[in-house]
Amino acid sequence: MRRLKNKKIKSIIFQIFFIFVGLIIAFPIIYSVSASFMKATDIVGLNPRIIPKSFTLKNYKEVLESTNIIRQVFNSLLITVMACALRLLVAALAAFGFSFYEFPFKKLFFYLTICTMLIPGEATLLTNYETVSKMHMVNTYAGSIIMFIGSGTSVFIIRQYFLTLPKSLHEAAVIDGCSDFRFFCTIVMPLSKPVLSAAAINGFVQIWNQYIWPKLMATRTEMFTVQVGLAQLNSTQGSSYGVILAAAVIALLPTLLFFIFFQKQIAGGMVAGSIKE
Amino acid sequence: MKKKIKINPYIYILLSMLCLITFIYYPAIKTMIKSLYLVNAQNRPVKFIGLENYIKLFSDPEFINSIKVTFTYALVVVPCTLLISLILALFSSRKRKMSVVYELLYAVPMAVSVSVACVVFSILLNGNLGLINHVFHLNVQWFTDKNVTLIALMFIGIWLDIGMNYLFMLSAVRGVPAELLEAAEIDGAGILQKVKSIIAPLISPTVFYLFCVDMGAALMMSGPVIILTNGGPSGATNTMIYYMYKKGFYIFNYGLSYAAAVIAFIIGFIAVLIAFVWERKGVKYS
Repeated sequence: MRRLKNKKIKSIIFQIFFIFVGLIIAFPIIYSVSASFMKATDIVGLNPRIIPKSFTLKNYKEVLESTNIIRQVFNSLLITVMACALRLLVAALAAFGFSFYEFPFKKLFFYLTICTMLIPGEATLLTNYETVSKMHMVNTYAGSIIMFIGSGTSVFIIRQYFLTLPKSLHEAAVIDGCSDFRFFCTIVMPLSKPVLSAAAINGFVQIWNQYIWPKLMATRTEMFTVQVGLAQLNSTQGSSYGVILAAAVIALLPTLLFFIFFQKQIAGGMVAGSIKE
Repeated sequence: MKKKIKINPYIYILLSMLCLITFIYYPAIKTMIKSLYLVNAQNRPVKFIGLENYIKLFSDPEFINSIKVTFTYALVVVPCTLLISLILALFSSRKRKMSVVYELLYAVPMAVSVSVACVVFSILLNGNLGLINHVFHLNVQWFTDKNVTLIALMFIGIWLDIGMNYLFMLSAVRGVPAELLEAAEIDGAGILQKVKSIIAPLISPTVFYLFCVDMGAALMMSGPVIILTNGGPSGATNTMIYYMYKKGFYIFNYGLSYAAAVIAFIIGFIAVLIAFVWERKGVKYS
């Protein structure tokens, strides 16, 4: 009896310790939320604080009034949602082709798709910029979106899922005179909700958090994404720390909420994307 | 029955292939080709000059320095990230009542973008009166002292990587059969012993995979440099990709920029390729 009790107490102490470590890891996030409600002198000053002495909404008011952040959040949302939706559609179509058909050069095309994961995007920035500017897409939403549509990882994850669907479904649909495209729309897609939602959630977090490409694609502040606007605000002389942090919290909030609500899907989707079979 | 070649499947994969070829293969190949040309300030190739851009590149002390900076960064960030995330995974390997809470706290840096992390850390690490200096009674000029700026960026890099690495480590650690651990416990093995002789060998494929993926990413590090330091102070944070970025987008020395891109590309490619090949073999551990 006593031993059991001891064990229980030990477990509780462990858990408190683990949570304490977690609070240290998550500290920058907790801090940014907390400090966004502080006066500038409590953030950086003689006695910087962790918990606000007095609670003020002034930083949020100022960031909304003096910067273009509402527009930038809108830009980010538009780019992220459009890119994410297109990525999913394009990847699902390709995955359908790769899993329900046999055709010449299938292997080649499939390897070409997977091998894109090996090529670091940073090294091709300059040439991609040249291509997109030749298409006159700098300072347009399309310029940002187009870069995020193609995704070998998404094709791969979705294909893995499609392969688990019973082949007899397809045969039955063909016998019933259902066209392949209708089969794809009305049977395959609805059956694949788990993998599609995992891919969508991962895509959302990933695209929302992009920085370098959206920065290259926008020279005017009203075309900035919220990430680009935030970095710009941080490097502008004389920006108040409170205002910067309020902007950071606004930029962070969507992905943070996504992460808290969909942690399982994010973890699952990510590990699935690492080519395990 | 005669099989005719169907065009249907090609239509399904067309859009995806188009995107991938246009924005991944085409630019990779074009970058390689242009690195062999004399490219003028309007970004037009003028004359084939063979490896001359590369010779210039490797005789530029700024580039040599950027290789050093990049490898220093990667060789610190990657092992630290792996170690921290492994420890966190071991903490949470057993499911307990509160484990949902700390699992979330350990993984949450994943939700944070490079720019948010940079901005928050630059305030926390403010040289004069920031919170970190205050709490630890330091007087470090994190972003103006050339001896420590790279350390500040390493800090940010490690923090940003913890979440993803932790989730992989956790799934590997949880995959270790419980019977093995129990048997070891009965034999009187301590925690360190269990980690060393049972957990470590079983999760090593995951660790190696993460090592290569992280290496690939760390060698391409550029976001925090663009946001916070512009390569400074005096070149201390000038990474390879930042060198490429600066030469291409600010100085318009395209020849050097393309050559640097190819070198960075080859280095990153090798790191990820190893991970890729290893993973296909490595998952079959028994």
